[in-house]
Amino acid sequence: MIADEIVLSFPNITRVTMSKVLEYCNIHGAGADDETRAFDEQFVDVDQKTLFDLVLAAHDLKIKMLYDIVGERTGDMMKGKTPEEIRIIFNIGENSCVDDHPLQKELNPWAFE
Amino acid sequence: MSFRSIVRDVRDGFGSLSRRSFDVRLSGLHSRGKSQGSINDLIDNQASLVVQNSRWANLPPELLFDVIKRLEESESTWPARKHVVACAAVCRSWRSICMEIVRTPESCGKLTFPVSLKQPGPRDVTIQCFIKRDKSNLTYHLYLCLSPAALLVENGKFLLSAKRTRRTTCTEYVISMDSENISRSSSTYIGKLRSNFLGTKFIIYDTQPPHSGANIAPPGRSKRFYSKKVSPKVPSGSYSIAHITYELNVLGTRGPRRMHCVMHSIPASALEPGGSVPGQPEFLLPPRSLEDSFRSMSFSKSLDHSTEFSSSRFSEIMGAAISTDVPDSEKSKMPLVLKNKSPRWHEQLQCWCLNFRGRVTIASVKNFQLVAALPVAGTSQPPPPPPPEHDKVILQFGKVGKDMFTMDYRYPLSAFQAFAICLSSFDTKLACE
Repeated sequence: MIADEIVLSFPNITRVTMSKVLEYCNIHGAGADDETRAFDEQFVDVDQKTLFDLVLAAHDLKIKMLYDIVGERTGDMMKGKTPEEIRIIFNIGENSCVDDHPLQKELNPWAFE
Repeated sequence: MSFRSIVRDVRDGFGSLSRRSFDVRLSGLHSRGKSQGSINDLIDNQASLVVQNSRWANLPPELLFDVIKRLEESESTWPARKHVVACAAVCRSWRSICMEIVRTPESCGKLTFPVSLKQPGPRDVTIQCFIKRDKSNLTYHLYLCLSPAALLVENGKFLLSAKRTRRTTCTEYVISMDSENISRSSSTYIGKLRSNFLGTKFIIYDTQPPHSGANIAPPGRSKRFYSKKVSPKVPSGSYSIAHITYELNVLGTRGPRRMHCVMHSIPASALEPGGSVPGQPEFLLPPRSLEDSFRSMSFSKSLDHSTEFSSSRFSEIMGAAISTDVPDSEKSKMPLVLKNKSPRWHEQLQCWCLNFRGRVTIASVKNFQLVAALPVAGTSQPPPPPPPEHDKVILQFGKVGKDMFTMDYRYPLSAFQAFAICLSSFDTKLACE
């Protein structure tokens, strides 16, 4: 017997995130224009937890346009931050970064002045 | 309630709480009353850090790669390019991601990590820079042009600096990646230019050795640096990588002077189709081994500088570099020779002219354009026209202001080599009328 509806389950995507993804897809269904661009700007202006969930969801669901804008927004989080600040945001422990690598030693101040 | 258990509760409870109820819960902690205010503040701060941190640590590596790749593509010019470099400095895995994503100047035309300064530039376009001279301090600073109006507003990204020191028999320019501290004993020292007393012959020294096939003939002490006994750790020392000569041309001082640069670290084959520059360094400041620091110190102290610049030595090097009487087996080792493009005499303007394409605006004997010199054929044959690759201007240098000069370079030269060659033009005393 053929089912009337097909159930897809995404155990890694919360209901809240999925509803945001669907909202994005509905707005962009008709193609990009000024309105969708304005929508996108406020769509990615979210807290880090939501952004993180959207990055994972867009990647898992393979929605390229959404992945692009949330990926770009994630990159924006890193801009203008020092390596130490980036480590705090990404919870990177000291033992994975302190080392004597030659690249590390020649960056300051040349790259950051 | 211990601090640890509070933090754990917060972390565990995070997934199921909405933001609002989370806030309420925190204020509930406050109203518990017994603890001092400062401890509650500490808990608040730690809790908010935990909220933020717990997620991004779990970003899968392939997604992190995509994010950084996108960042690298969008931040292509300085100063924004430093955001890419900042990512490389975060931790080991981020560093390997960045080093995988960032391409060499030769393939993308962009300077990113410090080692870019010793890697060849792009083939199809030039990298445009400017040099600012400070006569009072005898220093020179090289900057990357950041915009078309870079020269007017001095809008540049600092690349390299040089400081001139006069010695009894020669002049030296110490080259450094630090804009303030320019000294041989500093860890930021990357090479130097030495000139003879008259300023007609120069040698460029690199702290890193050229590729193993580089064939330089000077006898005596310098041979030590090319022996296979060099320690496996990349040594830092003094390797002569180029010889530069200035001569009056057949018209004497009435015509432009002639320049020749023999680039020992670049084989002539680099300009052929499919050619490349071998032996490129991985980092700008490789770790020094104690043995080699000691060796380079003793070398420079005991060297009699006058023999380096002897006429016989220089003509031997020059002759060997441009001769066609070379067995095929040795051809791949022939170094690239650059010479300055001959200006044309402009009858109406009564001066020598070179087409600098707007990048040089003040006439000066120091201005030049370097192209590849082809091997000299036997005198019976007229020289063939140079193939297109060999007609490209590889380095262009010229005056645009009282103490401002432009420097445009491309493959196979690196920024360091180009800068050193330009410094020689400042120093040479050969003028022309």
